[in-house]
Amino acid sequence: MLKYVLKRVLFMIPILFGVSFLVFAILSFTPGDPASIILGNGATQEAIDQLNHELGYDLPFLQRYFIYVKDIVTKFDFGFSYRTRLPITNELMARLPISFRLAFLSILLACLFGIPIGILTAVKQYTILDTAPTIVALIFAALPTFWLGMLLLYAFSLKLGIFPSYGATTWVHFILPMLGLGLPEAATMMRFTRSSMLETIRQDYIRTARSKGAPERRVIWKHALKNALIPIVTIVGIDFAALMGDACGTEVLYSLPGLCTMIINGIRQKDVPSVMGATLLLTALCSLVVLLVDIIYAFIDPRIKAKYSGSRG
Amino acid sequence: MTSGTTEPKELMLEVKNLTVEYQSDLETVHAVNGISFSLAKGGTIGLVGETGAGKTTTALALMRLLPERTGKIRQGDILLNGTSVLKSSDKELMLLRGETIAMIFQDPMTSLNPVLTIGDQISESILLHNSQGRTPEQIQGRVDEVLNMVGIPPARKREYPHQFSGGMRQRVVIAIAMACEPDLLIADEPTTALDVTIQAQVLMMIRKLRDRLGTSLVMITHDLGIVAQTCDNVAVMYAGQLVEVGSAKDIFNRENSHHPYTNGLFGSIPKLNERVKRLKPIPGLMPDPTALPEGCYFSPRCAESANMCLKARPEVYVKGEHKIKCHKMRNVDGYVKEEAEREEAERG
Repeated sequence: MLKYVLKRVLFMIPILFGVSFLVFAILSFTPGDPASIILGNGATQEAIDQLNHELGYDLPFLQRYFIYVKDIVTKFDFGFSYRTRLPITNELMARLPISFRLAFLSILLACLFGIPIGILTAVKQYTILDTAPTIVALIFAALPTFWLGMLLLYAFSLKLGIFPSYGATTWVHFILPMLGLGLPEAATMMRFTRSSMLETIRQDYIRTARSKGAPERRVIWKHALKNALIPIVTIVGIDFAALMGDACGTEVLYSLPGLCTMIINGIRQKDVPSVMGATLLLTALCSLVVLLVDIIYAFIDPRIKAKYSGSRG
Repeated sequence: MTSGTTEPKELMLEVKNLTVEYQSDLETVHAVNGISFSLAKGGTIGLVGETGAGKTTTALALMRLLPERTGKIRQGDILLNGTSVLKSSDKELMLLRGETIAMIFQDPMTSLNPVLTIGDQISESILLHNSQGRTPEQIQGRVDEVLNMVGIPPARKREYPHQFSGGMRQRVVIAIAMACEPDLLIADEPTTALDVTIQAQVLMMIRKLRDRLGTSLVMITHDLGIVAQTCDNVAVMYAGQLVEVGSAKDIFNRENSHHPYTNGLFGSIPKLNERVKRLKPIPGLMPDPTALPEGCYFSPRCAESANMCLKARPEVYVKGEHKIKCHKMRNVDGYVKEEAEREEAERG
């Protein structure tokens, strides 16, 4: 098991290299340069060249990439933002908790609602307890996040004044963003749980359990749930990682200073180190979460555990 | 088979005019079409027929394990120890399942829960039917006992199904069924998924267990050899009907009259003591269960079929315990029309 985890962690190295090279190349080969954006329209070519030189942007692409990677590997230094001249590492550390908290709360909400309701709809298939939640879920899944976010803002902070509309200072600030991001996710989770559960309760071993005289509740909770959860765990893990990098609309709407806004602003201002830093951090987190999911698998499914340890045990 | 007039033995199972359909939005599959048979306490009946004859559907109906939404019991009754399974409440059903009636399922690869240890899966039915108030240690003791009985070292009870071979898994499936020493055991093709050497072992084991515990057995199979080895009664099933029922003697005695389908079944088995160039398979396929023939269900494939076979459903003709559902039997000496069968509302 430990060997497997180590192998997977080592496997992250080529992934990070690949992602960093791709993003770096895209940023470098798209038209424009940071200095002309920072200095604006009125700047002279001389001033632009001067600033680009200061930022190190006048060097050839491969050389810049090499320096960037070397600094990270040798000094764990992600460089300075072209615009603010502040170290990227500090900014990442300030923004990560916000993105993390938002994604975590949203996925938690999604699990708390999506999984139990998904199980209910599967067990009560074709009854009102199936159709009603399904319709509600379809509505939430179809709503664009930004629109739902605006509705929530309008209702709860503008009209009712219960929750603040922007900022990230207290946990109360996270309630609306959590709802805006988490409810559509809960809908997806519910649909997924439903289909996974439906497939599981049609398996032969469920019939075996019934043939032993097991009551329905035991059949569902003891025999079906653990099997149905296996694909759900994957979705929870991947979606959690995705929500951290996917929350642009929500972050912008509620003025949450998270990683997504950092990437968006970075792209707009050609701030290569900002975009690179946030992207690499998200990539690493994503890989770690997927690894975590795979480890959790082993505790649910003994077949996978046996595969990891490479033995029959 | 015990005839209606005298009942020398107590009946374990009585199936009366059982009719099962699978209903979907598009079509109705007539899987079991009014079958009746009974099984004495301690007796063994073999349910024989080709794939799709409705054997497994019958077995699932006996335990009321048909797929809830699609599988419907339209008619008939199933009496277990004299009480109706069909009229039982869910709670009564749970008490019956596992303890009074248990089933060995066909496919050992899918019938076991992959995420539970085999020990847990075997102890479950003991735990669920723990009227004697066994302690956890006693339950584990019983699990060890059952595992020993089916020839699996008890130390392996902490292992998961994927760690066992097909034959071993079938033993686990049998152990689950036997854990509570049921009064009636339904074995649904228990050896189909196994290779021949293991088949013999598993059959021997089922026989031994039956003899030791006095369990009544419904053996479902398409293999007449297995029937000859294990059963004292035989019911031949075709397209959801029983075309011939009788004691093993009646059925296996080639001197007797038989249903053409039964003859066809025997014609397709190789015999060691006869010189036959080619086996004679039954031509054609089983009729589509969504659109059954008008007359005798076997008539499209039957070499002996006459005009009336295509038009009228055959009656059942009885001689002692031997029952045959075929038109040609009306002219055979000693066989009389079964009166009770006439009342059965035939479908159509």
